[in-house]
Amino acid sequence: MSHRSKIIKEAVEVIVSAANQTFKESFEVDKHAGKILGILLISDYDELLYYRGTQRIKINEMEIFPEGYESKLLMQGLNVSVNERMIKLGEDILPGNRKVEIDYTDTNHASAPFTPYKVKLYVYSEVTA
Amino acid sequence: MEREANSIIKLKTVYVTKLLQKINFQFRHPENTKSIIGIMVNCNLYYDKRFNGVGKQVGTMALSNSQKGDVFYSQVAQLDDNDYRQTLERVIYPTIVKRNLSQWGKQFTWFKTNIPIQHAMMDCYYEDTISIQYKNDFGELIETLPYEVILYIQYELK
Repeated sequence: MSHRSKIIKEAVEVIVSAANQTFKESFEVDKHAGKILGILLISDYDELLYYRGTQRIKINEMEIFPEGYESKLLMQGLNVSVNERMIKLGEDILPGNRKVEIDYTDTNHASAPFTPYKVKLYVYSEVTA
Repeated sequence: MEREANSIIKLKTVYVTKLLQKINFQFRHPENTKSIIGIMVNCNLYYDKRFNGVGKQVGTMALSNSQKGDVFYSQVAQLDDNDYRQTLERVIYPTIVKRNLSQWGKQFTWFKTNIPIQHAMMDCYYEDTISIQYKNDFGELIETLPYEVILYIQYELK
């Protein structure tokens, strides 16, 4: 488990308080983080995230997922092993300016009536020596 | 929904508002890319019980090289049949009793390919087919419109 202690887990929360709007949040990853390993997107109302959500995610000014990318493509359930839930980015992304941004857009959908909900973006990074 | 190394994802949303609509559009490749490595077509039309037993095909998307005119990719956009219940993990005991261990779903994965980019654009064609499939007892078309189809393209950067 020693390698686990080198992984930093941080999160930013987007409060979706109104329907059909875009909410922007950002944060800076830990100063000890040497590279970004992956991300994870969850919500307290999975159905709303699934039907209504699209987002853009940028790390160090690099667009990881473009505007309009559906949230359901980034979701995973409990049937995924806990060690495999992280969305890998395909490459080691250097933190650079350490800024992680999410622009989350809520869009009306008949299958999921709006109620205020939270979307949380986790960022996993690794401490490098 | 894996993202490949040294790649960039672009998408185009197609808005279908008319019955049997046929849409031609062009997709401009980013200048700093050398090949298409992943394609995915997704649709935000969801299952309704009125659609029961009548298939999942919503429409077809075709991509072609604008200079040569040859179609290099064609895909059926499918209805999302809304089986996002995760019954396997939530209610184990009733699931066993009801013998409901299988899951329906949609394939949220990239079609992996490697198409070199030789021209600035590609031609895209979407044809709606769902609107003729569903009729109620009176022979009237069931309203499926409007809906959106999203074309995702993953590029390898130079």
